[in-house]
Amino acid sequence: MTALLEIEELSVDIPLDAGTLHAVRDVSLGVDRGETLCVVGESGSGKSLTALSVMGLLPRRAIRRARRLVLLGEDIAAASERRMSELRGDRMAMVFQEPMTALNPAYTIGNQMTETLTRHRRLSARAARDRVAELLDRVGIPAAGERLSQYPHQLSGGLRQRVMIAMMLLCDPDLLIADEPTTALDVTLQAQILALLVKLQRELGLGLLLITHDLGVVARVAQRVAVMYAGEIVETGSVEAIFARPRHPYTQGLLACVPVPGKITPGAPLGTIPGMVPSLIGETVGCAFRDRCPVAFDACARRHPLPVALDLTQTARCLRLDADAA
Amino acid sequence: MSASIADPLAVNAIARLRRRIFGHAGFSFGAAVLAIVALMAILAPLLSPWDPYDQDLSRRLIPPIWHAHGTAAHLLGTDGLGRDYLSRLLYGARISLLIGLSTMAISGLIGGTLGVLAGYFGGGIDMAVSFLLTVRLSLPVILVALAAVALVHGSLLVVILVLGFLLWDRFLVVMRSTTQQIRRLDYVAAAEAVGASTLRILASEVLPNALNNLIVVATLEMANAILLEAALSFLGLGVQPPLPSWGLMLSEAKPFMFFSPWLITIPGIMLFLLVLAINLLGDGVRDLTAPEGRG
Amino acid sequence: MFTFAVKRLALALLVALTVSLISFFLVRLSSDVAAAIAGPSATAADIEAIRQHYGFDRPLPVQYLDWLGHTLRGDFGDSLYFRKPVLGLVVERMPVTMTLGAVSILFAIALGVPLGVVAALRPNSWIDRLALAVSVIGQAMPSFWFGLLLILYLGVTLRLLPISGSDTWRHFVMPAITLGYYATPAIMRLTRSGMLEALSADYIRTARAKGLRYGKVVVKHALRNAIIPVVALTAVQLGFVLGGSVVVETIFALNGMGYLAYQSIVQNDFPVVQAIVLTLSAFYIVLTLAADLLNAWLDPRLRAVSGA
Repeated sequence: MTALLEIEELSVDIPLDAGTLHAVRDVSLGVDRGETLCVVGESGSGKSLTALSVMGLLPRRAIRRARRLVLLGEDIAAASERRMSELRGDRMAMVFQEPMTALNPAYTIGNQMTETLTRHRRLSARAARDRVAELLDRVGIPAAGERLSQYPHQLSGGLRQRVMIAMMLLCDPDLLIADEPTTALDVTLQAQILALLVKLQRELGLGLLLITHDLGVVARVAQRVAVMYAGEIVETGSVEAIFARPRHPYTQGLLACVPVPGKITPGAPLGTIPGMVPSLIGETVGCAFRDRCPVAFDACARRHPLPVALDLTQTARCLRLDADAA
Repeated sequence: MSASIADPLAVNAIARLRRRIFGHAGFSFGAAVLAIVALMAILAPLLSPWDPYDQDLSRRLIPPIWHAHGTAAHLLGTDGLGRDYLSRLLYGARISLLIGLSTMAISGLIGGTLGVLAGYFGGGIDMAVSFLLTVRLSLPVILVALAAVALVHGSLLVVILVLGFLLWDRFLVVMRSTTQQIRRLDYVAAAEAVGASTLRILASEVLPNALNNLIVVATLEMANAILLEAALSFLGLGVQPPLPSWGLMLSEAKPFMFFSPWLITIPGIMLFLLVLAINLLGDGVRDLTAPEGRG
Repeated sequence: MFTFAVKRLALALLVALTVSLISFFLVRLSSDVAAAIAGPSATAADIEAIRQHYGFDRPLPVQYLDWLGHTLRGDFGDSLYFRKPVLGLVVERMPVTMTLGAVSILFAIALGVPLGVVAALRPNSWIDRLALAVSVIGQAMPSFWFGLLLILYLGVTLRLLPISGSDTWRHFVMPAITLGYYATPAIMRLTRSGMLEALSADYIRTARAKGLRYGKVVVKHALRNAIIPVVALTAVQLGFVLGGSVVVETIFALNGMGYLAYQSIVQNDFPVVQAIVLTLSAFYIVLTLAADLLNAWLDPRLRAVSGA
């Protein structure tokens, strides 16, 4: 399978009054054609910024650096804004978290959808409408024809998110990034949207990069998983490996927090990870997780752990693993 | 004294405040210029080399000192009737400031009272006051001011009263909305329940909270009043000659403006600077007292 | 939307009525109308005769209703100075003032909106500061002084434009700049703040994520939402501009309603003054009504709420 997206040592710095915020630190990951990679982490872990980096949609004052940032063999780190705007919506697309505000209230659904096609393809008005209707149908929105002349405020949150997905798939992109696409929806809708994403990914052969904080989502959708903490990837692996044999203390902690029916004793306290995410302003020395880590030792305060390959598919950043491997 | 200065936190806070105030360019500039104009006005009798009403037709239209024909006796030259321009300018500052402050006071009183009443009592009173506001906003102010002044013959007092009775709209809006906000707060309801008098509640709760908005509006209206008076006097329907209102000076300078342009440049620049200073001061107060700036 | 419009219209009518009341009583109560009509050389008997002829001895409310009736039919009486019907005088001068108003507002929009947009696109840049300077200067500059300066430099020194009269389009340039400049700051500031807010909205991020060209994102998506309050503001500013025409027309000797108003005030020709005050007020009321309705219509969310 050809690599669709390759990210090597991506970092994003945001200059603040109080100092430089190292929001994303040397993140490396890759998405292949037709596979789903889930990036999971709590808020503030840098996962959204990673996604925005790929799309080139970082806020103006953010500084992005990467050893490699390649989409379909093309170097997008050095691409001009004009080239990026050609790629966005066409070869790569992104669905955001908040469907209620993601659409422009002043224009109809049809208008906002067809403008993507007009931008990237030469289609007649009729052909564009047909394509839009086809995609609305594909995402499970009934009566597509009527929707075209409706305004966003006339649609519910779940419908709006479906519209967003349809809109982003109009030009048949190779990579779809979804940043917490179901977080703002209620549980039943969550399940529907996730199922929809899985289905679409299969049908269209998309590479799907899905960002979430919810392990339940990961279990349902992912083929591979990257766990982020404090701006770094602390563990990657196949979804089976991560769930069955998590090697990084943070991943282990995360899994312990999730009650699995049948495996917990009623009345026993749920797992927690004590402490808070450290501030990423200024330089971080040693391992960022050490203050909350149950198995930290004194080297953790001094040395910054590098990724250790545990087997062919799994890597983790932990000095303990270094030590074990040694 | 020694106790408070010895307190490092207090010293720090004062220093920070001072830095913020003087660091704000607009506020500093505005305050400085306003202070200068105020000094001009207060010290006019001391600073003026001549009597501003003293005409001398043998010394008409002498240019300011930086011109070829200027003299040191008349630093800013003389006008069409031979009166010293610098002296008239200094005394003119009195008129502008007087008009600005008195009009602001009157319209502030009217608008503020109406606004507080409307905001506090709501209901019918609010509807009546809002209607009054809409009517006032439908009047073309310059025209009505002109007509009103003409009806009772222009003078300084008339201008102040007419403008004071016309420019209260922004005060009303600010005090009304502030009062409404305060009104809804729980502790006001508590105070009412305990039986505190309305006046007391208004004085102790509404006023302090409205203060910074009020200052911003007050500066706006003061600037507005100064500009309007200048316009009225320029058209001959405001302050009457021989008073040295800057607007009047501009009007008197019109016949000579092509050959003696300084006659319109100088009073114009003074008006512009004064109004600019007041506006910047108001903006500065707004910026400095914005929520982030509080305590 | 319909009920909203009807309610606003009713309010507008009520306001117009009140303004007419104020206008009527202000004149009647502050001077002896009969004496003014009779002229300076009239005797007491003449004045009394005029008083009876015009019905000034009737109770005020009756006079008001009578006057109102005439006014609604377009009969504003005769000008004391020109000895001609006021309506004709005003109508004759209206095109000049309307033209001046329109051109001034167009100037203000042409200057204010682009400045506001660019300032929002590059906050804290030099162009943002330039826009701020334009705004601050525009608010502090006495309009009549600005007009005089323009006459002095553009009209006389550079001889680019005529300095008085209203015959050709050139005669409107300097007056329009003078008036328009006063309306620019508010328009620029509102455009800028609206754009800043619009540009930070989620739907802009979506538009960029779709790969739309930057220009299109700014104009089609951001500006469209930012401009809504500006349209209403423009209507209100047009009202102010019309009011400010009194001063500007007088300086430039433009033969419009404003100049007529000034001349009439100086000559104590109060039927004309009354008529112009009423006309301008009517314009204000109509413009604010239009502004409110435009606001409601342009903002699709408001439209949804009011059931359009």
